[in-house]
Amino acid sequence: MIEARSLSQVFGVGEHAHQVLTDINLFVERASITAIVGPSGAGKSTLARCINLLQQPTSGEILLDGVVASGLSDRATSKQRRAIGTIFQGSSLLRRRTALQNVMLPMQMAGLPASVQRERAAALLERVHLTARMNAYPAQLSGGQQQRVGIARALALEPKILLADEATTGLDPTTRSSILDLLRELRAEMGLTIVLITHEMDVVREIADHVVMMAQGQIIERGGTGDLLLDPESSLGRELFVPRQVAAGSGIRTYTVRYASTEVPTDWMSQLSEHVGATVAFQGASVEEVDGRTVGYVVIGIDLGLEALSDALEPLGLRAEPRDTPPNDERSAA
Amino acid sequence: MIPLGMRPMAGRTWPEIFQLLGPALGQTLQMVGIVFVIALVIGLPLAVIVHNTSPSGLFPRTTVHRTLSVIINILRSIPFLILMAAVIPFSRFIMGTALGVAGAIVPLSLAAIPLFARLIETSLREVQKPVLDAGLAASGTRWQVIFRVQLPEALPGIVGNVTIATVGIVEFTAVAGAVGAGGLGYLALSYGYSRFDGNMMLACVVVLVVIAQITQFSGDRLARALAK
Repeated sequence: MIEARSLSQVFGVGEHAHQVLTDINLFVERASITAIVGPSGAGKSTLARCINLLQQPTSGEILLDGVVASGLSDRATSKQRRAIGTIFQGSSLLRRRTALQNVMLPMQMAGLPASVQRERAAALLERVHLTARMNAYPAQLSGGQQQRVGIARALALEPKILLADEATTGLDPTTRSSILDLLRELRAEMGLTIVLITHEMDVVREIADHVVMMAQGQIIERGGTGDLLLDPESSLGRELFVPRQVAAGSGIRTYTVRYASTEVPTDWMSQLSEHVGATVAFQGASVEEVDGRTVGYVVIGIDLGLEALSDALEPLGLRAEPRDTPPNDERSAA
Repeated sequence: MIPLGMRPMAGRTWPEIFQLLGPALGQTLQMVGIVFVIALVIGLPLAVIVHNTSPSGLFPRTTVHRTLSVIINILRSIPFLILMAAVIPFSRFIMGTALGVAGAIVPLSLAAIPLFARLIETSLREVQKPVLDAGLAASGTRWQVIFRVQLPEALPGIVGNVTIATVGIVEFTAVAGAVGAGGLGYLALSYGYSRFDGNMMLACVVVLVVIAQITQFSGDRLARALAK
């Protein structure tokens, strides 16, 4: 369980002062997977560095399992960090240590007996399927393998919290999926609370229970991933699923139809066609299952006004918006 | 002055040259050895402090960083010949003499320490921030991170740069020889140059080149063996 209470971070002093985080309040439930998303410069990484105690907030505090963990002395902070494992972006492995020795590092810092270090490190590498590469140096490992070593190292002190700062950035989609699968398994096995810092919306859809969206140092939206995806009012929900460009049909009007309920009938297109007595031209779609719910959008062409279409779609749990004007326009005008 | 090549290559016979060369080589190696140890013992911690007090270091202290940096820059900017003459009183005070090998140790160290410190600092800077963060996140204290992460990761680079600096010390000892420190530099200048003994000059140059080559070769080998 992680809690941030009115966390603020200011870098620099006087006229160079730069407010990076403003009054962040965050509560991450035990054994949940929470994604923190937002554009670069939004303060995600700074928040991550506050959570894993690499940085002291200017004001406010971090609580781990209900105990204040920020603002402690150097030594006490090092000790508190044992409760949090961090997976960094790219390779933060020590080049001159083998995979096994890298996993042993946190245990050496904590002063565990050498036999325990070796045994546990070997077990962790087995868990991330790297036993065969135990004695390889990072330069001899692929990006995905290096990230697995990073995960094993993050777990070395048996933390309750795993923080992944852009841990899948730069990996190919297959490798990324296997890393995400591993994280999901670890959560199930060890009851880990996982916080993901990412800018990849695919990652969020694939794994996160909760999403927190940041912009300019503040949390601007938060919620359950499935709920946000079904909420047509949510800008975060929209960003999680950005409609692709679709060639417009001639003579008919095109609409983006979003899933706004869990009760959408699978044959809604034929139902709609029957109901309004017009043909529905299918033009494109991106629909997937997230968190056991069907979410996404379908682009259709139909000879019908927005109002009439909306009336017909509402009972089906769908929501239409015209494609002619880009969906972003009304938002920026507001 | 008549250039070296215009004179007949007269002078001492080779056996005589080797007789003089032996002790001179001993003096040079002695100076290089002593100064190497002093420069490493003082220069390495100095580099760790200068680097880690910088804004990107593990315990940023801008004032300390700037002060040390300026002192190092000043010492680095004085040509060795002038530094040598300038510190004669200081040398006398510390070593009791400003002559011979003993007299050369102080100026040589004053030149070598900042050189070592700067070059080692450069190597430390190459250890990227995420790697240090990983050390801290692995529950290490800042000192643990210095000793278990920063220094070991920088080691191949440090060996490479210390090798360059050591070749620099060999060069300094030759200059020191010119002002009475003894060693190969003294031999080359007092016999080879002043008395137009071409063979002696040749012998000294060859030995100095060999020392530099051996140093560079072993340093490179070691650095390569350490790099993974």
